[in-house]
Amino acid sequence: MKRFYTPQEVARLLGVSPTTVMSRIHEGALPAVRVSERIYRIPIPAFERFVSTAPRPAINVRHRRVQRVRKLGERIAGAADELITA
Amino acid sequence: MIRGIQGVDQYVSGLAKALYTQGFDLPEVPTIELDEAGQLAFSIVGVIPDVDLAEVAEISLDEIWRPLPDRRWERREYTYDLVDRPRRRRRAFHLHDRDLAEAELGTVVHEHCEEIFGQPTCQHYLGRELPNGYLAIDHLVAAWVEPGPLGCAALTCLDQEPSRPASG
Repeated sequence: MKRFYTPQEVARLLGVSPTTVMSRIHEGALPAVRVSERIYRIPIPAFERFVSTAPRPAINVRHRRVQRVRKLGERIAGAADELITA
Repeated sequence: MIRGIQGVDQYVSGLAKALYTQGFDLPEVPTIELDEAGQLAFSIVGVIPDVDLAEVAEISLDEIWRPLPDRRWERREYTYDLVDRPRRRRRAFHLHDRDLAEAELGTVVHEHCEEIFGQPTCQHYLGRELPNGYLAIDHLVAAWVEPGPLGCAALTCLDQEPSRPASG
């Protein structure tokens, strides 16, 4: 299953030129990942979020006092166990 | 990376927004924990469902910051992980406790790369320290979109012993 669009595909979808798409990427307006020096890919979920008119949720950060912060890596160890036993 | 509490706050919020902008949902509110030793820690998780599968891919960004004088903190440890369940693979960038990691692996940072999740051909790959979580998001999202192999075979293995199926 394809997970990305190329800048050319996005240009077709938006009805603009590939140059315009690249400009939006370089401006940081259109999320993209750079997979090599000249190749960019636009994750499809990022593109859908980019064109969506739905209001963006507020992202707040909470603070909590704990006795001791947990060790890193616990979540991933659990995920590995889950997939190995699946 | 050294910041005051407000700077850490903005950094955590910025990472969460960057994940959201890349199309990831944030099932939990990002939380900064402060412990009795003055350490800060946070965990941000972003999930993205596969189009035709019930499984999700998950990016998690975890960091621990140690206290410095003058109410500032320094990033001390991190784990940046992609667990791609639909494609059954994993990519990760880790910086664990510096002294321990240097003694065990000869380097403070390492990477994980599993073309088949849970079946690594090498437990720890040579890596370079990522200056911040934003760069980690770029690398992990790039790994998520990549339809071909992750390229683990091209990385340098740090292990002295043959690999065994485990994680960490």
